Amino acid sequence: MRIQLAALIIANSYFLSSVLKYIPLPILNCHACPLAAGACPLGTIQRFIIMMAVPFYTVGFLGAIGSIFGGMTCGWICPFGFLQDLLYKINTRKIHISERYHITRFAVLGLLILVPLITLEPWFCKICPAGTLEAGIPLVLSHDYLRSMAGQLFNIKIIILVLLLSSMVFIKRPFCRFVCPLGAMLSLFNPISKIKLEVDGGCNRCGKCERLCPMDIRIYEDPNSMSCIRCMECTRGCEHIKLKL
Amino acid sequence: MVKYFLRYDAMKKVWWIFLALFSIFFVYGIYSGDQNEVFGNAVRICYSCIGIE
Repeated sequence: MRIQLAALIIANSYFLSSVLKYIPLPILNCHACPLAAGACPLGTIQRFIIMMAVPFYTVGFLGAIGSIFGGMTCGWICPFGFLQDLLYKINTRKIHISERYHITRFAVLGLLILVPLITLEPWFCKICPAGTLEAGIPLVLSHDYLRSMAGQLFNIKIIILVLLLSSMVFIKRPFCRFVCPLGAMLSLFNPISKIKLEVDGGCNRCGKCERLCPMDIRIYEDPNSMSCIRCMECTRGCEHIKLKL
Repeated sequence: MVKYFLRYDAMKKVWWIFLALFSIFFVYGIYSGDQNEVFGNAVRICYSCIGIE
């Protein structure tokens, strides 16, 4: 939690933006946010697709991070993941959804690439809830001319954000599990990344890891599942699951 | 089938090949000046992000 808070502060430390905005940080933090320090990889990839160019720099950077850490950045430094973790702490009835539905985010990843290619528009940015929260709302509130320009799309963005924020109270990390194309991209590296999880022979499949896991994964079935965000919650609750380097 | 392929022992040791490949992409991107485009895109007012058509 402390690392997530530190990452949130660093990712939104405007004084670092002259350096970090050259780097597509492997986290969901809108670069249109008035305080944002780094570039958003999803916005960057869409921009290159619209320009009909291959985003070698961004894909290379994300791929190198993924090859070492897999989806670890989602669990440790993503500000939007941190927000979801905080909202899930609200004490209320919770809903569990099976890991098999996590495949929807790969469909979103496919659309992230295909739709800008056809429409030449950064469609994901138009509906991105992180963009609404970090850029849309603060900028529209603080600039009169932007407020006068905000129309139907802004209202749709607000509705999407409110629905998602509400679902975060009841479902563990719903955006990461069913929507996030960045998480989908990084999770493709989980089975081959340098950092892995390992379950030893003493595991009796009690299910404690699944209860602790923010992605509802049965770690004992597949310790390097593509849904894993390497948050290490399971290793804190079970001595049979270990981080392997 | 993909799952079984990924569980194959050799596959677990190829992370460094992917790291090398993506590092080449990254360096080629810098050589092409992609980082300037990334910076330019990140500092521009993004009307899509704000929600303005």
